[in-house]
Amino acid sequence: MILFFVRGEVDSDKLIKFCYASYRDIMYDARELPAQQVIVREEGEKPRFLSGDVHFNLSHSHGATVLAMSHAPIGVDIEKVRPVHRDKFPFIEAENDEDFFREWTRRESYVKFTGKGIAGIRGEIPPETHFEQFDVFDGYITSVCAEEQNVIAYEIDPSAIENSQM
Amino acid sequence: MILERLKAIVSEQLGIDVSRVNEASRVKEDVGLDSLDVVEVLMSVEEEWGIIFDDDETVGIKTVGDVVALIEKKTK
Repeated sequence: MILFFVRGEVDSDKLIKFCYASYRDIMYDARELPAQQVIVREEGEKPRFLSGDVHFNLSHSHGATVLAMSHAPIGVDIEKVRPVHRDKFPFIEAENDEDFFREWTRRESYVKFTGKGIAGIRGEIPPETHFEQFDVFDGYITSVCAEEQNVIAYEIDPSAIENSQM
Repeated sequence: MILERLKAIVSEQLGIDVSRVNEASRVKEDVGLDSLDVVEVLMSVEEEWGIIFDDDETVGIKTVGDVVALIEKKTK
């Protein structure tokens, strides 16, 4: 998988197209991938590529964006660590706010992986589910849910995306 | 009425300017909520209107209007 991190808000479609172009360049077997992909946005479903060759998932939180891209289904969540009324969320056991967000992003990345609605955050996660977790941008936590695979991460400048010919 | 109460919840809970919260506003892109914010709002909505959301019901939520429609449906 490749994780593309951006500090700031960017247009989703431009980001997806920019990251796909990079993904295709970087992944060794991407020569087999088409130059462009069609993004499908259907009600009740997470956005996806029509071809189904490549999977992606997007997440934003208060000034940061991450796009995860992989050959396999993937879910990602980024959250800015901030004060939370932890007692409102009894399904999450945490001793402090940072622990809370580690568990929160884990659960939310699973919800994104399965494509369920946000209320699924309260549900059970199968024990064999695989996660990766990262501290990014000084104060944000990111969790990714996907089958175990190599991870490459990049930070992209928002201006590179805005200026791209996508 | 539902929209007004919802605006109040979002604004009070998250300190967001009510002008950002209109029927057509996309919850994430326009109002600027992340997943924790959305769940906090939905939990307050459940309390305020005495309803409970199933997982499936929240899948399609994109705009504030979608939340209003869902509340209307559940309070019929």
